[in-house]
Amino acid sequence: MNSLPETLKATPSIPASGPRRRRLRFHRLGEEQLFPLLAIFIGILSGLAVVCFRIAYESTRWALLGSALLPPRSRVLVVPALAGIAIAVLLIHVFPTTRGSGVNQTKAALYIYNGYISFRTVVGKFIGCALAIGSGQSLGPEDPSLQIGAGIASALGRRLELSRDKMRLLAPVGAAAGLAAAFNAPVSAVLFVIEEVIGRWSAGVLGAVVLSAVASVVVERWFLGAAPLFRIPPLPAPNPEELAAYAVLGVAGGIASVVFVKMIAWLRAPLKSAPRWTQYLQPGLAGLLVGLIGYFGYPQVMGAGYVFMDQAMHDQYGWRMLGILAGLKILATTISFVSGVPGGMFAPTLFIGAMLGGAVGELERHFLPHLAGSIAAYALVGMGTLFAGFIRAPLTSVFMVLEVSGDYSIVVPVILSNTIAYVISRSLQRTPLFDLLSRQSGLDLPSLEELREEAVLRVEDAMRPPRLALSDGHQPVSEGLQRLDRSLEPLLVVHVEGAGWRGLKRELLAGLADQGRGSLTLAEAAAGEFSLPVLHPDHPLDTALRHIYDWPLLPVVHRANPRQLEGVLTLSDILNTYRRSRAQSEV
Amino acid sequence: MTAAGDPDRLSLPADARCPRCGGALAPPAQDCPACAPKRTRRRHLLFVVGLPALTAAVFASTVLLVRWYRNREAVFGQQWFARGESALEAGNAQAAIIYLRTAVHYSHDLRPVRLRLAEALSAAGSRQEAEAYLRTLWEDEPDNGLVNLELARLRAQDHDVAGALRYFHGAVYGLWLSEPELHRREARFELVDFLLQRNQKNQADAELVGLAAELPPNAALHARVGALLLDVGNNPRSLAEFKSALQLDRRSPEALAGAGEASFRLRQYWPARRYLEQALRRRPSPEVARRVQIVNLIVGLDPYAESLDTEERADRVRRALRIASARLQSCALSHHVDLQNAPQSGELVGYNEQLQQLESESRKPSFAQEPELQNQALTLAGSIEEATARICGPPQGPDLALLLLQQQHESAPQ
Repeated sequence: MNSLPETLKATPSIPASGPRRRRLRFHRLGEEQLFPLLAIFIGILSGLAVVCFRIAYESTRWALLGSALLPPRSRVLVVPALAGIAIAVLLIHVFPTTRGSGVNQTKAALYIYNGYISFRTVVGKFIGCALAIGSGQSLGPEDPSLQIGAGIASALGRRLELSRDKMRLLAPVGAAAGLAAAFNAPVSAVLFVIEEVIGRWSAGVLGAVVLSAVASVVVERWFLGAAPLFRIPPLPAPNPEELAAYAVLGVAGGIASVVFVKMIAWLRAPLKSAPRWTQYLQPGLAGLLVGLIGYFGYPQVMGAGYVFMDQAMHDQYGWRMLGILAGLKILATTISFVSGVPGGMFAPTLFIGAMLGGAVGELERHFLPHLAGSIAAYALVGMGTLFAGFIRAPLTSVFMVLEVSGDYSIVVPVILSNTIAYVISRSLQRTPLFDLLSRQSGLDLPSLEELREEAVLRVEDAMRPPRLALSDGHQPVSEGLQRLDRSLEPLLVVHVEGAGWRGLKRELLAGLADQGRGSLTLAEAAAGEFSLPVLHPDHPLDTALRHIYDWPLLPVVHRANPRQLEGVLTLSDILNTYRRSRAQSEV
Repeated sequence: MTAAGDPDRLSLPADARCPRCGGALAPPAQDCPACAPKRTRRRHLLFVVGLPALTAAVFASTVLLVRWYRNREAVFGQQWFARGESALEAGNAQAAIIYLRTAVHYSHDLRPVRLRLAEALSAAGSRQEAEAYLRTLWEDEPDNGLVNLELARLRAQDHDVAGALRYFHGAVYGLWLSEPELHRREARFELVDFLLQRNQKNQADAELVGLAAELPPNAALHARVGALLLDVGNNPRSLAEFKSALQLDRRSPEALAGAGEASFRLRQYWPARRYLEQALRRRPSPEVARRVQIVNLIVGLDPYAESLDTEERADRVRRALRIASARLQSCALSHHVDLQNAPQSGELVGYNEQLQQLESESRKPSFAQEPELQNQALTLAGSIEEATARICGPPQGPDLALLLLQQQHESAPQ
């Protein structure tokens, strides 16, 4: 990993006297030492930014639509359309990189642009999304918060002139901070970033991500209170029979997720490739269509919709209304998103899930009153179900429900329903949403779902038994040479007691034999050679690649008994294994 | 591929120079040896001074912004709450719900607003939604009296007896911000009404006893409790409450009528007549008048009254026999029983034979000096009234008086 830069090692030594000694130690604080502290600052600044962002879109809403939960019909019809036109102008002329939800843009920063997100993008995202959400476009604030946090981290990293490796790590650190503050859920934010942005569990990055998420949540709660996102009525513990009801919800959620993804995929491509002049009109038209939905009696679908999710959990709506709201929200969000309006998908996903869950719960309560629990429970599980099926982040979806509800009793229904929805979504829609969007945008980002599904190749998959090229060191050099010639291996592997495994090349053995030192033992001949790096069967095959270029053959030894050779490994063995694995996956 | 604005480039030409100082860069290293120490110092300065200063500045700005935001939310919350209150007072529950929902959104955790919304929802008939809000409130304040009372009412509407009881008790023993005793008392009255509707008289009686023990010196309240005790059948306790009420207000018509009724049920007919006649004078009422009539008949027929001499007693016994005889005749006639010619085993015929015997004995002058015979006659008259009540329906007027007298005599300690 990272070590002190060569320049610092070359710095002339400084006499060890008091203050100068302290300066020397301060100079030795490298990126590794600063990174955790930097993560905390990123968390604090991201938390502050998200607090300001929330105030921005709420204030925008007050200014444009008024303070009523259900705005006046005249405003509902006009405001989103006019704001859409303003957003279009901003996107085209001022902030061209702020389209989309922000998740793929953050991933692109990580995988393509060495962690670079311009501060202009951050500002544009802030302004554009505040205007979009505040004017009633059916989008959410969480994904933009994720990108805002990542952008702040990137800006800080550039100012601090961090190395490329650290710059790449900053994007997910900031992303976790932004998302944690937006959701008021640090665990879910960390899981989402690891599940969907980074794609791997690494102790180094995990620590920084957790620090930043916690710091941002502390800041957010300091200003906006520790109240959960939803005021959830007390949930009765579900009966085992109720699991059948939640399974039905899982099926419904899976199907709804697939419909949602396909609608977005189907509409987004032609709109993206439409003539440039249409991009001035698309957001406005989207605003008009969303406004029409609100005008004709369903203003609940406008904006993020958290207050209406809360009302759904408090039994305000009947099943018909809940079903209609779920369907219209899918439509409205699709329209808003594919038109290029910047904004997130998390809040609409939760909204659809809450309404769908409530509708399923109400229906089941109507027909099977002894089977169904409280509507709040169904709405809550529905949120997680849609999250699992649509966003395709199964781990995050479970923990998110637990965090926003603070109630562990529904964990089993959540897991059941989410799993069913995830399986259905995977079966009917192979490509996850974010991968689909990135490909439509011309970005070839790694599919973290596919990475998760990939089988990890290990040394044991590639190693083979040694072909006589093995010695315990007591044999003479002449015999060793014969063994090597018979085995056709590139190296004779010798175990030297107290010194580990050594490798003897044919040239060395032949040279010793020519010098008349054929009676020398192999252990004596190996005394001056470097130790071979050893592998273990469970090592990932990638680990072997790091060492194989220095040695033509590597020993694979037992973990409990390093003297016991399990097999040997060459470069061709490794490459053949990769080739076989690819062939199998293509089949 | 290189990153825009990224000074670290993936590949360096052999004669690469540092863009800052112009010094030579030796590939594959990408750090300029001359600039690295300066960069480190800049980084540390930024980290130690710049970053905290930036954080502090942003923090301060956010404090101001949040303060403004909270003020606006508070203003909106008050405005919408006021509109909701006005709508509720005007009886427009639906509009009140819309306004109060908005007020709840802006007031966040203000429980009075949520509670008011729950009340409005309850008033509008949105029971499930009201209960959802109330249960959330109950989770926060399980001993809030008003929350418990509202929940009890909802549970009662759903015929959930156990749940209603639980929340009624929560209201009775819970915390009330203003006039706690009044609210607890009213909650208990409501609980008793609920129990009586469910015919759970024993439980209602227990609640009323507890309620009676905590009543303030108020005649109307004692009378109210006394009336409820009558409903549950606790007549002695009911009479005690009515007497307590009369001690506080001896002219209270409710207390007088109640005391009279309780005394009547306790077969204390003389005091019952006294109370009832006073009640009738204070406030004429058909029910009280009917009771007075019956009591007067009882008192007039009572052969066991202490003030009677032997002749008067004998006359009352003869009168009782006549009343019983007339009742027997009318009952037999209504059931087409010929008392003279019916088979020996008929109940009414048997009574008729005994009656005829005793009537002939009662006509003798010596009847007045034969208390055993008189008792026998009275017992027969009572038995006839019981039998005819069973066969021909409840008695009225003198027959009823006679029946009650017989029951009183049978229940009296010997």
